[in-house]
Amino acid sequence: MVVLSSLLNCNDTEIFHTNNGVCGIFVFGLYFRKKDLIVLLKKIISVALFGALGGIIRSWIQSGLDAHTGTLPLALILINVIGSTLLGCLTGGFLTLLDTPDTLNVGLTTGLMGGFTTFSTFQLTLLNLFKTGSMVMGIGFILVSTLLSIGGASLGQWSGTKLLRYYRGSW
Amino acid sequence: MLLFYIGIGTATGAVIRMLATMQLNSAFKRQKFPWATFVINMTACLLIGIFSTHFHSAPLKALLISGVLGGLSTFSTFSNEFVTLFKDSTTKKLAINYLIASLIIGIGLVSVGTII
Repeated sequence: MVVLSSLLNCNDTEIFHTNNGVCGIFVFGLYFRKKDLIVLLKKIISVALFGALGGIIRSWIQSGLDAHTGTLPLALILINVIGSTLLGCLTGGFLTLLDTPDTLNVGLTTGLMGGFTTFSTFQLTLLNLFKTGSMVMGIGFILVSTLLSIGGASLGQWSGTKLLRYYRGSW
Repeated sequence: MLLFYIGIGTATGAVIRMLATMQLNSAFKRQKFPWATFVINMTACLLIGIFSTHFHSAPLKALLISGVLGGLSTFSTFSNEFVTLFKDSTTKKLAINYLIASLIIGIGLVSVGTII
């Protein structure tokens, strides 16, 4: 409440600094003006909501597939490849085409796709494959994951640009 | 119920990543190497090693490993940054370095995490 009321009144309190007549606040060492802070709060809410959704979809796919695929981490490969492709398409031009607000864009990219894909579980799974002696499977996993994700990302970026060009002419 | 923990965890992890990315991008402004994603992914790798050896209850694993670390680390940004760097002939080498460094240091940090 103190933060909110001093934000609205813009007093030079301990929390809010006035810098050359501009009122703002330091958040994690970065300086935000009042209107930027409101944008930041909106982005945090957007990333949190879409991030939660991404994580839930990821674990839903994992629990659905892992029961059938045994030691082969097929779900993780699929998740990272799909996420890489979709992020490529979104940032490659699809978001520009949709002309959606920044707060939604950051939710879809950093939140949804970032929350959906995972690097840490990928590396942990890899280490466990090596530890259990499945050397061939580990190397196969790393190659398939990386190559397909890179291929997916570049296909995504290409299709995003194509879509934008197709619907917007010479952009 | 586990899905709820995963949702809360991923939301927290993703927000931390966004704020950390903003912070790291301003610290490494002049660098072409994607330090922000690299540092975040490597931190998550170290933490997943620690968490997976010390936490064994299903809710805690859902919250911290699938949730927070799943949301904190990202594969999609990693692969897209690689493609963007690789397409540019001046940063092709940097792209390869980024890929190899992420994969090797990543698995190294996971094993360090499982020991400490």
